Amino acid sequence: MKKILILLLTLITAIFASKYNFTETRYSNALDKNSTLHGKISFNDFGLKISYDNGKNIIYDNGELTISEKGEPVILNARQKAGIIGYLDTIMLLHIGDKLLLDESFEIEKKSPKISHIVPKDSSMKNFIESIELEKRDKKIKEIEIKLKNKDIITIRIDNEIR
Amino acid sequence: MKYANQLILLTLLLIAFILRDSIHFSTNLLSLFASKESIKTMNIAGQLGYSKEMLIAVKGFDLRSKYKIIKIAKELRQNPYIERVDTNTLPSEKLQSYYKKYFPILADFNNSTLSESIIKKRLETIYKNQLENSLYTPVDKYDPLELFKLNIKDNEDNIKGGMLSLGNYGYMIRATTKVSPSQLQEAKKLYETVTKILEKYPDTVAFAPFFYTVENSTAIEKDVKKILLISTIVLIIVYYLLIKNIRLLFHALITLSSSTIFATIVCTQIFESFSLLSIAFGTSITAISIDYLLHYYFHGFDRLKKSIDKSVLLGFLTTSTAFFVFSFIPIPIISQISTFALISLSFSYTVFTFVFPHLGFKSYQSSDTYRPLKLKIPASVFLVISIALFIYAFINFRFDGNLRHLDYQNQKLTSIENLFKSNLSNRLKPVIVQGKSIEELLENLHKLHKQIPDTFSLASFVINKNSCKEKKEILKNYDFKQLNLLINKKAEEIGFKADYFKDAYKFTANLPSCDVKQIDFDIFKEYHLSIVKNGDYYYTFAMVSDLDKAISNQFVKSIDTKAFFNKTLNTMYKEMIFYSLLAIFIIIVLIALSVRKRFVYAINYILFPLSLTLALLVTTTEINILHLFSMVILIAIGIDYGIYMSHTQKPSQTIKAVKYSLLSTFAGFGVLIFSSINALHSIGTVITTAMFAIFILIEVMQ
Repeated sequence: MKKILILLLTLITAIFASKYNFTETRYSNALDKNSTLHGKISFNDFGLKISYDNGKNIIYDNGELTISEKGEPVILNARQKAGIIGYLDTIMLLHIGDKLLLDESFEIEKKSPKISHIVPKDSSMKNFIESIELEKRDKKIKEIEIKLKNKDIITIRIDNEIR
Repeated sequence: MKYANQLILLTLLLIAFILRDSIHFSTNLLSLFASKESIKTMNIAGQLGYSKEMLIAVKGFDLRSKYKIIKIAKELRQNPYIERVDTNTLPSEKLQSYYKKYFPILADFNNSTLSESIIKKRLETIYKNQLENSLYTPVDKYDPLELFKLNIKDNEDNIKGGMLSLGNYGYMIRATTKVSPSQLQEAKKLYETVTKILEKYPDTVAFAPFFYTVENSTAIEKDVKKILLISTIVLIIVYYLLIKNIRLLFHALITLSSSTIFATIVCTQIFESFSLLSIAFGTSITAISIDYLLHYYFHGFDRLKKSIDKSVLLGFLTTSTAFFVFSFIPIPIISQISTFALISLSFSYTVFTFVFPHLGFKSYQSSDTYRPLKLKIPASVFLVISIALFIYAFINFRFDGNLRHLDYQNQKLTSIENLFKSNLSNRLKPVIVQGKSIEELLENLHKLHKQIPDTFSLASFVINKNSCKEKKEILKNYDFKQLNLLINKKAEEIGFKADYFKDAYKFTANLPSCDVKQIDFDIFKEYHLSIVKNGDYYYTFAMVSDLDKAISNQFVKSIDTKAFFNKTLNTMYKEMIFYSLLAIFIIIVLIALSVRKRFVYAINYILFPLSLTLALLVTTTEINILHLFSMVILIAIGIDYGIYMSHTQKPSQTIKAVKYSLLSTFAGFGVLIFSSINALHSIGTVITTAMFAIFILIEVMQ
């Protein structure tokens, strides 16, 4: 019985506390250039954590956003914070993939069984995001491509899941 | 003549039916205590949206809580009684376009001339950030050098995860309703809808001031039913088991009903907003008129056909004189109750005196003989005891000045209100600012901002005319064209796309007008800021951190309800003391003229009940304003018994009449002791104790 319980707990932790290696590619329209970053992203029920290989950490937990660079906290104003939280909420929502919740904020169009085209409904999000392309494999996110209003593009590619 | 009593009631019911549209009651208990000036200020505050806010919180900060909030907000937005629903502080599209239009005027501008090297350095930093910063930062192609800084202060301290939050409890919705706490019907409808919506979402709590109106009025209705039931039982015991004349009870009830209806009709026509509480209280006072009836009954109605009973007339005159004096007290609750009592008592006295002798009641047949107690205490001893009790009460006097304690104690809603209050940061307090024109109003707001820099008001968004003109002048004199050319040249050298900054600072070419009349102030409603016109003045809210400093300005009015009621309470004291002394003086003169030799004996019927009640209250609880008011009424009704007992030729009949009258008064008035509404309970406690004291006097005072 004890073994079954431990096995069950391990399984639940594995499902909910998932951690991935990712590659983030940013296209800057101002420079007409791409830049690439690598890091790890992990999700739980109340938030997510992003650790870039260059030492920058973003922790979003229970509505609180903390950003640090090489151990030093990065101070942001309320408006910047709100923008980043909106972005992180979108990533979390796409990760959870709850259709009901997604429908509240986005228009979703299936382009193929694996790729969805997502357009924000909310006016505040519409100001920044043009559209999102989401690629899933085996119900898990493979790639998120966020096209921004200023013509910048952020692409997050999940390389592999860390067990 | 046999059916005269019933006929009077039917006629009054018919009049009430005809006038039904003009008979309105108010259930807002606290408004009864506020002065006219305070009520006017609160009305303006109401027009500006004060007390119309509804808060809803969902426990937790996970994504599901966030979306629960979004869904509830969506449902609320469909309700016609809800004006707006906010879940975050992101500006609306209208407000964004306002910011866009007025950006150059509103934003702080760095007027310094920048050298080519500084411009190059700043652009290089942007370039580097784009490639190396792991935190994505978009490039501002309109103001790349960050010369303009928009410092709009956000009044909202309660933010988490970009959403409104209730401290550490969870996410929150701030809704502005169209319902004020005084609109019972609308409040009930919205309350039902909100309750229905929230039933679907577990772990949600909601609070709005109008919730008290709905929940308390339901509780008050239940309470009144309970009181009525107890009252009926006591009355049946008195009339059916003790007096054994149920017909007398039937007619007494008809007359009391007629008196109440008559007083209600008259009072609702006289007063703009007549309270249901005043009717409940007034009806109870009406019940004391039964002592006139019982006095007549035990001494025989036939005497009245020849001449008026002088004792009863004097009793009625002293009581009604006291109420007449109290009706001038400029506190709505006291003037309303006193006027109601004066009208209803006069009506019932008239009916009992002139109609009842013709209704054919059989004379009272005494079946038992009254055996007075052997123990008799001189009146002077009671006077000494009373003085001693007064001294004891004076030493131990503690006053409860919180008027909210008088209302029905809705524990459940109070704990929800406390949950919101304790979790919300309320650094800034609202005040009302006035001005003869919108321009003057804005000038006054800017004066307030200068005095208290962290003030939040329309002045946070609208610059004043002179500053606007100065700013325009500065911007016109700055060479933005040259700056644009320089930025584009340097950017291309660094590696930016050609012409990426071609629109840099072009927004300074078309500056908006400084005329405030062109601004649509409705767009600031999302910050709960609007302008209303009332009489000759324009009013708006300002949120200030230093209330005392703010209200030292003549153009600022406080809406601190606690301060209002404290002020009212002070006025109440002074007025009550003045009018009570006036009433006591008149009563003393009347007693001195009518009972002369037995003056101490008669005055003991006021002093002893009053001192005993006070002593008991200071021992068990804190004295509130309604305890004091009931004591004032006690002066008016207690003296009746003193007059009857001093004047009587047939002591046994008078004692019987007074005892049954005491029981009737308890049925009508003392039963309020069983009420769960503190205001009524306080009155019941005073009257019941006083009735007991009068009973002692009847039995043992010599």
